[in-house]
Amino acid sequence: MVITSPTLFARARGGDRFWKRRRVVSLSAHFYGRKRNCYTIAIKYVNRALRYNTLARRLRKSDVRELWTTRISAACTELGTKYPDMKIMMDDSSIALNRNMLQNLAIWEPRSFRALALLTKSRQEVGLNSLEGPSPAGVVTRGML
Amino acid sequence: MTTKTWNLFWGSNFVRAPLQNGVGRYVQQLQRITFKFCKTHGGSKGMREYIEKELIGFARENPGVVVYVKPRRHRSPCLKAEYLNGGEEYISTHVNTCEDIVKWVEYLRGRSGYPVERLRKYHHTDYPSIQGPWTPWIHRHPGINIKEYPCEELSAVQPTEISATQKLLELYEQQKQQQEGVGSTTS
Repeated sequence: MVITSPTLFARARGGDRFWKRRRVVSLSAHFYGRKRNCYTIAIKYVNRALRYNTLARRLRKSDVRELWTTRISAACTELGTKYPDMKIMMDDSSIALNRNMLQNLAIWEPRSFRALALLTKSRQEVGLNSLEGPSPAGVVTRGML
Repeated sequence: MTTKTWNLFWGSNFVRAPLQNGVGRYVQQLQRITFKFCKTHGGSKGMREYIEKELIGFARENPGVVVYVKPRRHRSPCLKAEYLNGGEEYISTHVNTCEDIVKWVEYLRGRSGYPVERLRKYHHTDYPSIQGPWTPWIHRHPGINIKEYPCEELSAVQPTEISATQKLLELYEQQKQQQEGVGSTTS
């Protein structure tokens, strides 16, 4: 049955206030005090938290890269070399391993990382392909094979 | 809703397969699927069409799946899938065409029972290391295991810089090799 009266033109607006506030307050569940329960207070801090989240996406990349570098440097120091020297050696030998892979090797495949460190040390003592001096022990170069 | 909200609410997890499914034999994870619809309401039209045309084909192709059909008055149509590991998926098919429902059913057929979550990494391995992970003793000489302590050798000071005497000796060695090299090329 169609209602033919002015009430037809009444709009049902809003009704979303509770759900809108719930969406915001659910994000502040771990905040302190009124910031976690009261909407008008929580919305400010939730906005700040979300803003920090978007900014942190860029920071995370540099933070993680720094962590990787720290790990590789630590592993190099344990084996008696330095990361800059290792980078030079890898450059010359065209070993294309990035920081991510190097730190994974240092943690999960330590003997492979030790091989890289030995290569670095050998290269420093006498150049690998140089004709001066004896060939370093325990290192196999392409020319030998 | 932002992506961050979505991920916080729905959770995140690593890639996994129930009971190493697919490593050996692949077992279809869908256990039963329920088609709920109304016989008269317009929103269930697509669902009714699907049941008339496609459902029997689906049931024949998937003998391991139990199919339930529930006609319920005044209810909107939906699909409910249950999986072998206890997971469930609910999809509302209100005012969906038959083709849409075909696609949804195919989607449910291929899922494992795990909920939809952000994947923290797209790879997973139970054996991340072949050589064995790093320990503090992996690069140390195994002879330290049988040393008697106190040991003078190990308690000695580790020099970080080479002494002047050592440096001079190294320089001497280098010079000697250079001279030998020069001698060998000229001769």
